Amino acid sequence: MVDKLVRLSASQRSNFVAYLDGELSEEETRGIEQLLSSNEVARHDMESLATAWELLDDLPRTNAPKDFAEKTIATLKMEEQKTPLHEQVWYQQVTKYGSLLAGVLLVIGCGVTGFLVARTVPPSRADAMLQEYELLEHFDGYEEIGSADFLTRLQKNGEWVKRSSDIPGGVRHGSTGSF
Amino acid sequence: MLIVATTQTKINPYLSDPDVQLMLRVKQGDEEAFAELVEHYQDRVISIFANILSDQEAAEDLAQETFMRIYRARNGYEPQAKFSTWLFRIANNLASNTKRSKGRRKEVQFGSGETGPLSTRPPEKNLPEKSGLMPARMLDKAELLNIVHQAMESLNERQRIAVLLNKFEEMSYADIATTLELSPSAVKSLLSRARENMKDHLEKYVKM
Repeated sequence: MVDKLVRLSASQRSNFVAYLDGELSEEETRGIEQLLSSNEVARHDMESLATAWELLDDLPRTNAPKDFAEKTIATLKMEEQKTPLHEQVWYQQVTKYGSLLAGVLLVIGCGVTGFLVARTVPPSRADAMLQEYELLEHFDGYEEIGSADFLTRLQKNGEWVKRSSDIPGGVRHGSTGSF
Repeated sequence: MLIVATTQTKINPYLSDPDVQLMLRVKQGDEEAFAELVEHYQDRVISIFANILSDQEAAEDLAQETFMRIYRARNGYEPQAKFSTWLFRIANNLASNTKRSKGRRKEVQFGSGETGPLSTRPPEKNLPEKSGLMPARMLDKAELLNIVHQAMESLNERQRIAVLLNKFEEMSYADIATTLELSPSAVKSLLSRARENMKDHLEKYVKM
């Protein structure tokens, strides 16, 4: 008889509501059902909790006015019309894709400008040396002789040509031929 | 087997919620889908607000603000919960903010603790004189409603919204937890304390 009226622990009581809501595990449910079958205090508490819960059915459930949805949508549309330009979706989209397009155009522009600039810049020293390679190849010899005019005149001189043909090995035409 | 498991985890479980599908249509610019959502939830949201604020007009205004917030958030919407859970989370935040600002303006005290009856006026003052300890069926309906209202007012704000979501929306503890941003075990003890408080309050007037 004492067991049937024994006070409930806090954890047992906290499980009562969860039991009524079907939120306990199977094991916890079995525990509560065992307690209910053996304890009058528990049974009474459980019944009171259930009755109190049922009384909440009397709380009013309100219906929205018939034009509630219509008014809400109309308010939203008015709000959208008032929305600052930078907050409007279409503007954000245009800005987003516009900046992307501007970026691409900037890259292309830089490329074209770079190409044009490269074309107008004078050739470098290395380019010039390549162009004059043939001259530079014999530059030491030309420097030793000192004057190209002298070689030209010598080549045209008949006496020199005659004498040089007498020299074994003859005139080295390669050295003057290009003049 | 592994592939199946991986595929399942990749699928968003909330996509099966028809209201989530409606919201995704709203995101694509479908205004009819939004109207459908409003019509589906308007009575439920207004009822919750009306029971929290005890003011029908304010409840309608807040419900409208809730739907407007939903609409404004459409572009960034990603289904990470049931639609109703998301909606009532917004409603809860709005209700809390409204009560806070109302409290600051008028110095009205709302329930502040987790336990014990928290009503600022003695409940007896609001009751008909002869209504004590009567079986529920013998009380006048208006009297009974008054008592139930007082029982609700004896709860603090969090307890009240949890009870309303539990009662009106029949939400599971897990969904209430997501809505109120609490753990399920916190919701369990919150509801337990709330319903114990209500029972204690109602027992004074209604034979149970």
